[in-house]
Amino acid sequence: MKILLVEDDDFKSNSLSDFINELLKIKVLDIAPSVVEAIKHITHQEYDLILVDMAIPSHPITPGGGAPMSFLTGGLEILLELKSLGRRDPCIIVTQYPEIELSGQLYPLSKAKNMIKETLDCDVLACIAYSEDTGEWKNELEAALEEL
Amino acid sequence: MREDLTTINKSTTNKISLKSLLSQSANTNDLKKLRLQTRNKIRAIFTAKIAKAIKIYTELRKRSSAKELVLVDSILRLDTTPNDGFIPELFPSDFQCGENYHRVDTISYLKQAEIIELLLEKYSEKLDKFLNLLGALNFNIVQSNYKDADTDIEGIYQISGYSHFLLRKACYLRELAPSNIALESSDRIIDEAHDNGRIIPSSLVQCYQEQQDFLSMKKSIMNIADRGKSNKFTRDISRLTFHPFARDKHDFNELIQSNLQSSLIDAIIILKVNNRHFNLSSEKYPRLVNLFGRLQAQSPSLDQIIYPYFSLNYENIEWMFYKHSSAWLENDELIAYREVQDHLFDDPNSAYFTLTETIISNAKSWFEDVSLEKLADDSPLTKSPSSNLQKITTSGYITRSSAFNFILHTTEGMTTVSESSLFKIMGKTRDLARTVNVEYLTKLSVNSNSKLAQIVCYLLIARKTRNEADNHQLRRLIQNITIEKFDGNLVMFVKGLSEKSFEVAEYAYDVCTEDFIAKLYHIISSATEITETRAELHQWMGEVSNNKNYIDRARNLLIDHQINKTRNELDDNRIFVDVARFSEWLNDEVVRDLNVVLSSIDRTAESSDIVDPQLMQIIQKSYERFCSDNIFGMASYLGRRIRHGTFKGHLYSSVVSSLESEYGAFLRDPVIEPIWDHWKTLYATIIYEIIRERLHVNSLSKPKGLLNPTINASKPKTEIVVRCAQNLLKDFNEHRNNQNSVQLLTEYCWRLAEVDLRNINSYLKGQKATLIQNELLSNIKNHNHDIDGDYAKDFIRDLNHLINDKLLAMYSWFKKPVSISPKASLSLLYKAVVAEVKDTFENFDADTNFEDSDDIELVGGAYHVLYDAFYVVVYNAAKHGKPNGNVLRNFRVEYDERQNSKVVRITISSEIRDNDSEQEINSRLSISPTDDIENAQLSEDRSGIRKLHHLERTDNYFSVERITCENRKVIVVLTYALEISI
Repeated sequence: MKILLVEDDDFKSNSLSDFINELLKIKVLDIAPSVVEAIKHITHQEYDLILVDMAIPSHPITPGGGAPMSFLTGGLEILLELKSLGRRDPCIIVTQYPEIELSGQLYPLSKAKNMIKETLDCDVLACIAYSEDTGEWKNELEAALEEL
Repeated sequence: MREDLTTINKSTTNKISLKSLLSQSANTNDLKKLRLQTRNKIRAIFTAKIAKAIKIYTELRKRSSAKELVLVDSILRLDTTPNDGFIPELFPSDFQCGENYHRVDTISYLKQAEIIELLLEKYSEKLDKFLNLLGALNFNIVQSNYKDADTDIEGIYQISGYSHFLLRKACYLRELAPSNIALESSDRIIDEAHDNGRIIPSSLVQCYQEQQDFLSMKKSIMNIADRGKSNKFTRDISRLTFHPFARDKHDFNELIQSNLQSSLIDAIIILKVNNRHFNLSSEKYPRLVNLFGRLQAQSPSLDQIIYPYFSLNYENIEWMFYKHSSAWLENDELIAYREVQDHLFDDPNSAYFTLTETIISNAKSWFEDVSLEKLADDSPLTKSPSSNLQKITTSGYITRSSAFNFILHTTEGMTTVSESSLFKIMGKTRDLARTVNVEYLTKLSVNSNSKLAQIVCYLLIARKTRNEADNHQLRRLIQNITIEKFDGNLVMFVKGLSEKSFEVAEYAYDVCTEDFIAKLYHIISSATEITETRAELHQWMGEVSNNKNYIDRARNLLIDHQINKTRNELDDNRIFVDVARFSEWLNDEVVRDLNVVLSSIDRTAESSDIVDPQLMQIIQKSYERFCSDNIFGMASYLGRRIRHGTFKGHLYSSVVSSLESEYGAFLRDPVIEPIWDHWKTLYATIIYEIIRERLHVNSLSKPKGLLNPTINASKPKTEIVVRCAQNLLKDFNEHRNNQNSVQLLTEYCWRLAEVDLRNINSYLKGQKATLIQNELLSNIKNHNHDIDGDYAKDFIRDLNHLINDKLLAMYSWFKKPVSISPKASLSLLYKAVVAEVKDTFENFDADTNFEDSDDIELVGGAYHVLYDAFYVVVYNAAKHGKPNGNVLRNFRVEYDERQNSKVVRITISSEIRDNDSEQEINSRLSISPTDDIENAQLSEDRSGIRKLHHLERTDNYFSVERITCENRKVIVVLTYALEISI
């Protein structure tokens, strides 16, 4: 099972990887801390699961390379890219913010899945709120993975 | 209802009591004509308090016939003593620019038309005179007899008082007449209108000016916040310039009422304008319909109206004609023209109109048999018999844009257009991104076989919608074609577009902001390329438009890039503002009021340090939104990228996990473990407190929020606000429009934000000791346990380093992004120059170390001038100076009496070679009158000093103070005048 994790926060990235490893006994294959890296990965191969954060930088941060753009809806780029490639790699949004912005409006995570379908015509398995302080996200992620 | 009216009905000087009113026989007769019940109600109105009086009057309006109401109104109008303020004057002697009357519930347009029909009979003599004078005024305007026209305006005022109609004529006359012609009456009317109100006259005056963007103003006026009856009059009257057509019957009811409140003349005109949709019959309204015809008879033909424009120096005649056209709303042909443009050259999703069958049918009768292919050539666009209208619409942009939207609407996008025609149309239309129907344009795009045509469609679609999928589709199309045909080079793609249509390429240039370029993931693989590509695009635009500003912007970006390389640090900027959306918000919500305020402030305020309170309020409103908006403001980035992003992971989790993995055994020591657990708990609590309370925009619910959205919170902010106000005024007075206001407000909001961002970083720095919790750590260090004491010391040292590093990394999160607003440290600028010169002269070196605290930061776009100046001086020192000699520099900010401003004074000295003579060098450094300064930048040999003088000529702020050789050193002293010292 090939898993891509799109996440720029090291700690959250480790936390998600550890959980996946524990639950599915598989290691996350690729980690992309920026949109451009994520798009490179999905252009080169298909994944059985993609975990997507929402607010991520456009490009990798390199010394002396200037600041990449900070995209609050960078995760949507992955969904749209998959759609334009005609792919249906299963995606789960795992974000620390309780809302997702779509076409200039904020939607609570509970409505985001349907709204993503409605406004972007993209499918996601679930939109999960990640928090270091609770294990709730683990239950939600586990439930979403059962749909795979 | 307003209870505090102080300016009501100034014209009514004959305030009379009920008793005296009834003593006048005419009024007694009027009263007698009314039913007893109605008479009693009138008496009650006289004696009741205002709220009760309005209630009675509203009931009367509902139940009485038009005939009765005319009588009731005429009686009530005579006496304003007890209940002044709800029966407006029909021919007011004061201009009605505000909510001067209590607004009563509206009645149907049919009943109002009946009332007006009766009033026409009553005031027929006055209206006859008005019509005669109107004919004379119109004749004099089209004949360019401006002085005579001004006299006619005075005559009309004397006969029928003030009206918005008359104000439009006065403003039109003022706009057309040369400024050296004195138009006493028109100027007086305009001035008095300004004295009586704000939005209504200022929006009209500015609409008629060339530089003001019509659609932005229209959107702003049509979207004035709906405060119900309390601002209904202002909303209705200010829209007359922009959209006089009623959306439906209800809108028409209100519109007539507001216009009748303004004057009887305005009510007649609005009825005429809208009669195309409401068909008042001549059987039922003979006088009114007859008057419509007589108004037409007093109006020149469209040919005559347009004729004077051919001798005026307007860049685009139709554009100005359209902007001015509300001055001719008595003219049938003009109304037909406005009906088409007002509905088809506007956002079809606007709430204030729907494209009804009548409108589309009227448009169909007005347009020639148009198709998209025909729009590309110079075929006539309208069936209007006016040859001058044919001329200006064929060469103009408005009607062609409306025709484009009309075709899309009537075909629902199920039509085709060739790539070449589409490119041609794009060069002959304007504002399609704001006026097009997205659904239909998407269909047109799907029907097109040409990738470039699809890109053109999506350039418009993506700009209009906020839908991420549309934006993605545009980027996909651009990237595909750029990779296939332009070797993945975006600039080459834009240049390729310009070969087909400069307008499309220019549009693409506008779309390709840093933000957009950053999302072209298949062709832009690094953050560096974002800057480089944008700089190249600026460079291209500068070259093709011959506009130095673009070249300067390109230069600045490349210098930023050079500075970044010199710093060689990780730049993890996390605070942004979506400038495009903020600008949109400013245009919709602020510019209208800003116009009003700027046009009312005295010119001398440009240099005043006291900010007009209303201007201050506008800056405050802008900055508050800049900080607090949860979609485009700093708050959204603070929330999503930091608070709910990586703050805790960065500062807590990674620190703790790193230490536990390195010092696992040590921390599991039974004595150490509880102390460590306690430390972690406190550490987490401190971090939570920062996240929960501090990393917020300051508000009542978050009083400890570090981002303070108020503009007077500190002295540096106050100083920035003063400069902001001065610059807004200066720019407005210079250009007589506010085209640059949005950009200026955005720039100053960033400057204000920088003060807060510095505060956040100071706060974080200040938290270092609290986070480290030395007291607890000393318990670990001092504890006598079995483990080697050095181990404890290493642990504490690493913990200190880790927290310090994390805090240092976080400082870069809270910075103003350089790409958004140019800013440069003078020391870094110098350092970057030295690094660049070292690329050529490997052995050259100069001290570039500096202390942050001594640094001077230059804000604004002009630092490329200093970069270039540094380059000349340092390059010369490297090339001609003493090998391994000292090169020293000194920067300081000081007051310069000669320039009457603060300047940054730059002194760079370099040692000369041992075998060089000072005299010889001084002669090389001097400039003679015959030296070619103008072409200094073009030559390579011995041109350095001339280049410095050339910079001085091209930038008024830059000055070469001294270039001499003395004491075996070349000393160069330069100054740059500052707007503000940082």
